[in-house]
Amino acid sequence: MWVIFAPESRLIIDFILGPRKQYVADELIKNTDKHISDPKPLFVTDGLKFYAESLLKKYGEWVEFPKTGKRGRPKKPAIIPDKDLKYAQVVKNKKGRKLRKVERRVIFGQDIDQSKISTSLLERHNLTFRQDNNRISRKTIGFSKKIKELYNQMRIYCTHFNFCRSHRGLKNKEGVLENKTPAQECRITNKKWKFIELLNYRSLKNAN
Amino acid sequence: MSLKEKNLINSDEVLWHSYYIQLVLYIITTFYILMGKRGAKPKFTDVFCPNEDCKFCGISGKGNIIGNGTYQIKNKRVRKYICRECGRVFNDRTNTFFDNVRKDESVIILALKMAIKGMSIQSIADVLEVQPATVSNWLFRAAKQCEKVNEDFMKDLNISKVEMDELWVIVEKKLHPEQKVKMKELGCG
Repeated sequence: MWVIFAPESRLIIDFILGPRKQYVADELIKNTDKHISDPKPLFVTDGLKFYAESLLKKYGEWVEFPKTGKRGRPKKPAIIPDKDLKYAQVVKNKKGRKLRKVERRVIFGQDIDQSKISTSLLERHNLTFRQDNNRISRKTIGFSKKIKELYNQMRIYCTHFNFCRSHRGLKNKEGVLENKTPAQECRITNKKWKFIELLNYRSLKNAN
Repeated sequence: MSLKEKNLINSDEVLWHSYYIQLVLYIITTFYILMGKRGAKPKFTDVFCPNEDCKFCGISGKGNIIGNGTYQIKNKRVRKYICRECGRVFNDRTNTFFDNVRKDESVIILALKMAIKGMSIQSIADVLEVQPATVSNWLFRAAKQCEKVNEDFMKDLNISKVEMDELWVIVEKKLHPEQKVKMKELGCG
């Protein structure tokens, strides 16, 4: 399961169920792009190489280098990342079971604050995921037998988490803890939704 | 001896008082004649036509929706509407999770809340005394509804940082080797 998460508002943007393959990472980036607006945010991931490649595919441009007129093989055309694209990785170096060093690598972009390069909030959220859903708990026999059922369960859980469940970690401008939902924090909704409101929602094109 | 004679109430005051009562009675009678017993007809400005072929599909406040009666379900009365533009008849539950669902709303909500808190389909079915396939169907419908909500609200998000990660999840049906062979045969599964 692949998760996209906005740490500031604790919003689960989307998730995808699939194997650890390049095509799933491509789909994940494609889905992320649908949800976010310009300017593009800073992307932070672990050290998996698929992310960089799919980000390049999405936000990169094919550039053909001009001929120099000198002897030798001409430079091959390559994908160059967009100027606004910012991407960093957090890589943990371990020796045996012991953590030796946490490396923060900037892959694309410049002027990235080192303190912002972290995935700790998402890792904490993964724990909440595993704690709340028996289907993805580790070392149990409660795992899903059909991927469809897992998808349905996770979709309901994520939407409920975003719209109906207040998060204790969210603070107001003065730094005081406030009972807000991630959607409220992200200014998607004005109030905490009830579950029945979620079920009774009808999509409206233009409210004139 | 009357109050007037006693000079306790002024004669002009009594006259104004009677005028006032007459005026109020006049207003009430005209209101009943014009509007009927239930008052002014509701205009349903927040309701819109769900028909995709209609000109006003998804657009509210155009005056094309009128009330078309109500019907009773368990513990609730559902309002029916008709679109004057295309003639489509629909109700409060059309295009929502509860569209064409017979079971009591409170039972379904309880089932979905149990699912959110991590209970399995089988255990929910056992608690509520319904079929597991029914619970599975409710989950499917709710997931579809959630997709709709996400599609409408989760766009153009102004976010400065996005984190991405993977979780290991097992999806597998444990079978005996004989069952696995059987599943591969034509006409099975």
